[in-house]
Amino acid sequence: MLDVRPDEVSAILREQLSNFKSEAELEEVGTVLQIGDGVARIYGLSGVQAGELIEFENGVEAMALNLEEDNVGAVLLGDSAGITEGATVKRTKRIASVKVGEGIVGRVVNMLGQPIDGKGPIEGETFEMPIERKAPGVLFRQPVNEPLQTGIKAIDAMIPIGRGQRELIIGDRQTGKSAIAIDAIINQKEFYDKGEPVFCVYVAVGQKASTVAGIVQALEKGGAMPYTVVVSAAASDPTPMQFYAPFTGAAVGEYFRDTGRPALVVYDDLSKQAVAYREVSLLLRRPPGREAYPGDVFYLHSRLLERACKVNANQDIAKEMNDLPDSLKDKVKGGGSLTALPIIETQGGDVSAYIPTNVISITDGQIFLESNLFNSGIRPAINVGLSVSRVGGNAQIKSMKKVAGTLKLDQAQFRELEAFAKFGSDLDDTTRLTIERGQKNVEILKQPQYSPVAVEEQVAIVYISTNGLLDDVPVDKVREFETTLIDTLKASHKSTLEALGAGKLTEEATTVLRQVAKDLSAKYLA
Amino acid sequence: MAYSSRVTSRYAKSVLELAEETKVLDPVKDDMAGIVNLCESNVDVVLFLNSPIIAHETKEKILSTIFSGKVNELTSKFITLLTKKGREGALFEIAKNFLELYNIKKGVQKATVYTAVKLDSKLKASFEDLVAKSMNKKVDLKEEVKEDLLGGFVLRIEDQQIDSSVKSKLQDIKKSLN
Repeated sequence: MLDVRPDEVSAILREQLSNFKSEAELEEVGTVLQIGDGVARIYGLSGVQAGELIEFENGVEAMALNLEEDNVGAVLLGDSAGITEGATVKRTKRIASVKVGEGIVGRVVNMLGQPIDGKGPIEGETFEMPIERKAPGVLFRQPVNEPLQTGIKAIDAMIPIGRGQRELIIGDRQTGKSAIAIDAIINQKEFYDKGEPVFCVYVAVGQKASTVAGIVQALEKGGAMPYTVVVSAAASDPTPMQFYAPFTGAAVGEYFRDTGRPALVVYDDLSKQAVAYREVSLLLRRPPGREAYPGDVFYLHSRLLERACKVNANQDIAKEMNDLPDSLKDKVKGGGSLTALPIIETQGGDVSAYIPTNVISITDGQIFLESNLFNSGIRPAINVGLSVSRVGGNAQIKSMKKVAGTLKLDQAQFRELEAFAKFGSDLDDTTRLTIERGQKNVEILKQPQYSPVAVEEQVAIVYISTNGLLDDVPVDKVREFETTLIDTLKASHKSTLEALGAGKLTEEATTVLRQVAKDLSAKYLA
Repeated sequence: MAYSSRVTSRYAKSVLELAEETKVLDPVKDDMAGIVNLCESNVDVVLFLNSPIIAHETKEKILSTIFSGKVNELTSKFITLLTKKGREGALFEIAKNFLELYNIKKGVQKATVYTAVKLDSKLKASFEDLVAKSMNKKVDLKEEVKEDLLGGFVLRIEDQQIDSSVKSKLQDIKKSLN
């Protein structure tokens, strides 16, 4: 039995109570007219602001969303049990915000920023980051110019993502959308180890709690949790929490962005968020539009994704950024970034549905995943023809840019001729070569889950593939060849790899690559 | 069925203006207070007024038997008009709205004080004084006993309140200790 002396306990109690202020203040209140489906109609509260938090007698909070002529519509951020008609509601005069600080890293939090991983409260200094905040204006941004390495060969080579970019991951269910995002997070470990971490935020919207637990475990196993925050609004959480969770994720990411550091936020997924928003909007009796989504569902996503940006590196300009929270003003640093990877799930590959087209038009490109590719063993199942990155090209490192330039074109030509592959020997030499190289490129771009590849290794393997150095290797041996190649390079040509990683594709490096490839492919000739 | 404030405020405003012109404002106000009282104490009346099954003519007959002779002429005319327009369901809301408008006109501030035990007249007077001074208006103070407050008081003036009850303080302490 723990030895606790009663006088110690009462001393602590007395200390806490002495800080407690007991003056009665004038409060603004209202009365509940109607409550149900997570939505309350309230009479009174005449001074309430849109988006303000209000508090019920039992401590449950709600957010005022509809300010009408004679009532206020609010969505509950908690359990509605215990709130009855006629109950009193208080204004809190606070706009919804989350407390973010260095201590939030490595934690799993809910939409209100409260930890749900059972590891106690968030430690260290925290700052109130508003959940709804205006995106930085034009002046405070600068073009994307640094790469965000995902560690996935197909993406880093052909659909490069820059820090501050918004790249949509879109595809049917079970095509590996989340896997790409998680691999991208795990790949940032390299930068964390180097001491220049890219802080990651993974927002789970409307997913099964078991799935979220699995993801947290995968991140832990990959060593990614020390620089990652997971914001979870599981399927059983109230719908308002589900559609606000991405905003919480953005607020957490903004803390790192505004303090001059790179951040990556994954919204998994925005189609579920849109569904949650539709539910709340219909319950608030807002008029439905296409597919019963409310008219401002586009704005819901555009204002969220606009918050991703590359902040101007000029310190003086960055300090003047619009809508900075007061507590953060003296901590602001320029040059930070917030990269967003929103995920959209399509139904039967239909990208022309309402939400997918909206989000495609907002983002700076998309990674399109297809289930038939996935099922034929091409994983990640990226459709290279339909996937684009509109701004990432400027952010690619030079060596990769040079090497991968022809890869996308080669693959496009290969896909056109792919149907003729079955004619085998009846083909002319050029066609046969295009097809063979295409098939080998496809093999090169395959990559198992949780195994990101460092960028210098990517450059090496793509160089060898695009320069026809795989011509002597049979298609089914390509992956074996790849592993031996990388091992050899790592073991005896470290400096070459380092040069490639630094963005330099020198004569010297290419000679080494050609020589190593020649030596290794010789054994497949016989 | 809840009527929108647009419907009720229009009727209430016109009754108020007409009553003022014909100088029967106070008797009509008493009638309206009576109607509110009747509806509050008797749910059946509200249900009857709102019932779509009972014909408007029947409602008119019943209403006139209830109110004839007991109310001002203007009030009974108004009730007849309501039944003609098919708005008898809004009677309760209109009467409430009328009283609000009347209070605004007369500069009377309504306030409610909730206490755990019944107030004595001295305390009540001091509350009235307090509200009158802070709002600079005449006060119509209602008192209500709510035992779960445990002690202290809650003073509510429209949508503002001063919560100085023991119950809320205990809740605040609980929150600060968590």
